[in-house]
Amino acid sequence: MARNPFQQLYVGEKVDPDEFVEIFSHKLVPYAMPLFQPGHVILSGVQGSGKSMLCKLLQPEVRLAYASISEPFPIPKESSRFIGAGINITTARCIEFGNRRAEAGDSTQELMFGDFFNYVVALDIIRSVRTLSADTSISSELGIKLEGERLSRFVHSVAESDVWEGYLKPSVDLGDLERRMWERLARYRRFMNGNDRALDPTVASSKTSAGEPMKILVNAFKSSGVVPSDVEFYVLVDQYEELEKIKSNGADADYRSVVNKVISRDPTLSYRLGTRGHGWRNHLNVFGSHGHLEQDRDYKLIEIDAILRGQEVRTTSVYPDFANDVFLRRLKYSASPGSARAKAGRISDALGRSPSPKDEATQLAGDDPAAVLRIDPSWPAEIAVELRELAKEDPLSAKLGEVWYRQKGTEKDGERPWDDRRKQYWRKERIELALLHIGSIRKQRAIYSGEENILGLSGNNILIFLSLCQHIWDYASQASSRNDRQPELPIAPSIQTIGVIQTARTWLDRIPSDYGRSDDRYKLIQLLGEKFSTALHGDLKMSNPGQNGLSLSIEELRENAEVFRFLVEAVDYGNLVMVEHATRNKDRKRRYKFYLNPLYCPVYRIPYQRSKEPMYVSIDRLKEWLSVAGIIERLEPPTIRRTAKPDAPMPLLEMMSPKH
Amino acid sequence: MNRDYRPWGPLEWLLPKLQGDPWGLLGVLGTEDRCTAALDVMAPQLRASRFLKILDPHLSPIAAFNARFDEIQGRLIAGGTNAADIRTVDLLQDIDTMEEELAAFLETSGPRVVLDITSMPKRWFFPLIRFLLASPAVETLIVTYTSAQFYSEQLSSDPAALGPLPTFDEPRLSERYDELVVGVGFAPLGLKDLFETDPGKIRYLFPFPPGPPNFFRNWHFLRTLESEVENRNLQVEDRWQIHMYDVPSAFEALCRVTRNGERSCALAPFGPKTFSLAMCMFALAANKAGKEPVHVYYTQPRRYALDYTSGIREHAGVPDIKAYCLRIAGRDLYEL
Amino acid sequence: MSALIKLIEPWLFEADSDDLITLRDHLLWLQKELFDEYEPNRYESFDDRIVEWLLNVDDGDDRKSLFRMLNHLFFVGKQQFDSLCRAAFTDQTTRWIIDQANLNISESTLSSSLSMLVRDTWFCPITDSMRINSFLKLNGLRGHDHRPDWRSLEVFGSQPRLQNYVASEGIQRLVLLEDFVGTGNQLASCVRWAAETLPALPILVIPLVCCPRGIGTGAQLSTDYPNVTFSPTLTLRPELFLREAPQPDEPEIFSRVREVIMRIRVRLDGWEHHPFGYEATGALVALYSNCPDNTLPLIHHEGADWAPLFPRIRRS
Repeated sequence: MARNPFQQLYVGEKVDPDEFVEIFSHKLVPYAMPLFQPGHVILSGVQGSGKSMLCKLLQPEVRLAYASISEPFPIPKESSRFIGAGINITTARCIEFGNRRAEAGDSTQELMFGDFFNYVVALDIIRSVRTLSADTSISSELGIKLEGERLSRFVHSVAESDVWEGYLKPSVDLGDLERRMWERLARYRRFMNGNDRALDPTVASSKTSAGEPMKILVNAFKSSGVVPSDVEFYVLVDQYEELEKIKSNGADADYRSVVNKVISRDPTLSYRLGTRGHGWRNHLNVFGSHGHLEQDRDYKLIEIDAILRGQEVRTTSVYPDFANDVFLRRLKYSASPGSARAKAGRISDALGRSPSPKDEATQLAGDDPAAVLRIDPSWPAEIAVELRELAKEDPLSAKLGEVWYRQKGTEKDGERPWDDRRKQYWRKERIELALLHIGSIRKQRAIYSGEENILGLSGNNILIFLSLCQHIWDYASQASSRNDRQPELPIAPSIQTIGVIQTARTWLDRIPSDYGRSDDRYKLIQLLGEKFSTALHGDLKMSNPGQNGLSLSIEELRENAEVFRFLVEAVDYGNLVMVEHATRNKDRKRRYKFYLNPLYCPVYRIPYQRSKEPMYVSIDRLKEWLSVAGIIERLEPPTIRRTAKPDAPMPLLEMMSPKH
Repeated sequence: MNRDYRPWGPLEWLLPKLQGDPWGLLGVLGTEDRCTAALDVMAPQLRASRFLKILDPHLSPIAAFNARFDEIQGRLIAGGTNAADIRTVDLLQDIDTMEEELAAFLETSGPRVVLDITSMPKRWFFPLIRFLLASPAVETLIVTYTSAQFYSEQLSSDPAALGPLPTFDEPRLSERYDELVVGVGFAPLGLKDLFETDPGKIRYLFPFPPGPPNFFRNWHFLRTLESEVENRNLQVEDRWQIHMYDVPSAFEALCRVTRNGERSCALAPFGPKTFSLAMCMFALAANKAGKEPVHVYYTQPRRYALDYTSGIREHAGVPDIKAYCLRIAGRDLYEL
Repeated sequence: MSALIKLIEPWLFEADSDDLITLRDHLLWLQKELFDEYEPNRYESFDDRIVEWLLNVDDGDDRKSLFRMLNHLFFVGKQQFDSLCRAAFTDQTTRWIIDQANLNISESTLSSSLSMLVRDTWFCPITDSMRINSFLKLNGLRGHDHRPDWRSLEVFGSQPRLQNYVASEGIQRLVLLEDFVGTGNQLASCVRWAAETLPALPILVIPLVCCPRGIGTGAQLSTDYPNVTFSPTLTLRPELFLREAPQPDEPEIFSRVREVIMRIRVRLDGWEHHPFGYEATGALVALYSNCPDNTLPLIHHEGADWAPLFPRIRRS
């Protein structure tokens, strides 16, 4: 089979220079510029939001990749004078800090972790400088001179600094310095793996304070002339949220507060904390201090999901452009010159445009369009005749007419009042549901094809988008009658529909294998999907066409923190979408609405588009559902509402921004 | 035939061939019917038995779990275990506590020890086997595993991030591995992250026999992997079909592919515990032989289904318990 | 375009066909992993065969039922077979030899003792469908120069010559292997002959794959002949059998396929009166080397009015 241009969904640690540069899309860069400017940044986004790709630009290897093929680095020149380094909490195996029993008192675990963290980051900073200096063009551009006297001064300055408590003395050269640092980490590993009963005494007695050694390192690079003073250092701490999960004999050492401590106001270097969703907000403590971090004062927040979504009404979402760019890059990367793939200019060149609702209805209705109608026996004969006649040429309009009469009664109010321009919102809110009803009656699936549908189903998530493309391309290749088995472009709607269903099922079935309370989240999606489906398909009058979502009062959520935390986890893992909305209730109290990830909707035969009011549900009703589904224990008495104290960090709920 | 034979087989076949002092049994009080099988069979030959009740961080539904624990506990006590020898510990317990629990057991077990890994999470049995083999007090060590009749659809969830099993992450010179060997199971929890380690070659231990229904779920595991990660090294010849219960053969396969530890190797013990046992023994053998440390990566689930399995499979009218000799009269059997 | 895709595409647009999409993908993947190994039809693709097979029936629902049935088909590929061969040796055979020779498993010389005993063991196939040469090579065994299939020996062999051979070769025990055993009727006859010809020789009978009814036959043989031990490597579970009478807890699709079978049975020629296979076993099993006759005939029968999925090469 012809190679699928979307086969590789995840851009992993290993960077293939040609491939990365070709497939990386620059579209998000302008929206994430604080990442490439001095100052601390929290970068949050679900998997598939494009967060990882952006962070890759901080890696020296990626910079080298661009230089190696003479491609301009995609960061504006004025912001590109930086050296990136970092630590990934998972790949650094920080979880091993839970392997040994924590000593009581004195924050031993936090102090050890802080020291470990320092050395990992310090080693990576040195590695980054070394890597960049090895490339003539980059070292020249940045002015890095890792050699001779400068290097000697650097080594001496670092080794002699008191911050290391004498541990790095005497280091004769850079290799020696790195070796000592590496050995220290090896001693931590030996201790955490039980090879050593106690932590090596030379290590235990020379622990460094979180964040301090890196400043010494950076200052030494600059004062020795190895790195010019105008070059910034950016350190990425990726998978920050994993720190919460490190446990040791039931005690909760506060590793996050240790990392929070490095976000100081000292401008020597800037940190980027990469994290999933909202989880980080409920823990802004700073280790060893009574204070906590404040947005804008201490750090800038970049929420990739919000950027991709755009503001609800006014601003255009950046996502379609971004997805289009990613799509074309992938498509063209392995295309033969002159081929249809190579010449494609938009997603629609390969996937076509989505069918109009009228056309879709006609196709679904098939050769017996009148069969899509459910005429009430009590209706006047002329209405039945009218609708059946109409169905022959426009089954969608006929179906909407049926719904109109169900809702409004059969008193004639002009000719096809549902088609009247004044009723355009009434009609618009019901079109998708009408199509699903038609499909259901004809025992046919809805049609999911074309640029608009595929983008919509991907829900602003580039990973899901690529997954949809992967499946569609695979099936199109299998169905191709070409000798080279390349898909025939544009790909037929029928093929795309099957690809969509396959992708939806794959992602849904994958939930239990994901991290977190994945089993419960899977049950939650099943529960909501079936509730929405029952509500929408049972609603012949289509009085509530927006009930593919759930609305809950923020106040009630606040009083039920555990439930809210669970829902937020589902949002953070991309299973649900959460948006604040204006309530229809007279009390005007704030509410959140929750929708399934659009991709799951075809499985439950509900619209993925959102219209009108969602299902208003009380927290008690939701808890009842969750309890029956086995997600929470039997209902308990309501919890006492927490209040913020002056010196304690605000609870999660208080920090939720109303600006989503 | 030119290979070392490492005795294994049905427990009722193996035990009579190891006549001697009574045994000490260490097992797990879980929610599965099969947790009591080893005790039931061995009771007349035991001098001591101890069971660990290993608790998930978030047990739910609590009432159902507690009821089931009580029921199994009742059976263990009726089988001769003292209530005081039932110890409650955490799934994510630190290794210091694990060693202490083991030391307490060894005080009464005597030199002939049976470790029943049937219901024991891999996070526990990997370090326990290391500690047992490091103890000069243990002269003979058998590991037992009881088969279930039925497996639940959803076995476990809430996996921890991919990371090394406790004590299996000693420092290495290089970050890269020549070989990565993955056990094929039912659900590739977090397995995609494993390929970030960028090994030279990836191999799969595919358990066969037995056949269906597990066979079908194993194929699905491979299919999921292929769709999730870039299709690297997923060649037919890199998939080794090995009898699920044949721990020595799985161990041999690891020895051969790494040329007795000369090629560096990381292991991912997904799939059956028997393959995981082989991986554990290989990592320990490499360690003992002074080879480069073998890292063992796993995404430890933090929630196990209440009905993880049900029933005890029988073979020829008796519970199907397989037993593996790791050490006999001071002689270690799994060495490079 | 894949012929299968073309045929089933209209199905995939119907409501409630999510499982068909998944099954289609799974079968296409298994085609390259397993099904294309099928020896009796090596140069024809599974893709073409499955389409022809589904087109055997005109009714769309019948076709879907047959298609869904494939979810339950157990195909034993070459690699799986090799694993069974190894398992037969490392598991049952080795333990049996230890028992026969009453070896002390605590001895450090156990491995070398076993090696010597294996040399005195005669490995033979029961029928010629068991590839004894592969078995020996996979297990690193030299074997004896002659490895006759005992089914033929029963017909053509001379008992005295056989007894002389055993004595002169110093053979201490006999292992008889068979690739697939259904009811065990075919195997029983020659095992009886072997046991009666060599009553003092311990005999281990190993079906690599065995149906539940074969277990009963084997148990009877062990009872009738004290020198015979019956030990299958893989016993198939009941869920792999679509019996004539509905079974409790059987998959829902079985009842629909049962109806199809009863409707098309006349087209199965000689199988018309045995539409559930030899001795009505109803197996949903195919081996890479051939399809057993215990398997549902609608899977393997090739006739003027029926195209097979996995055509069976008949013995006679």
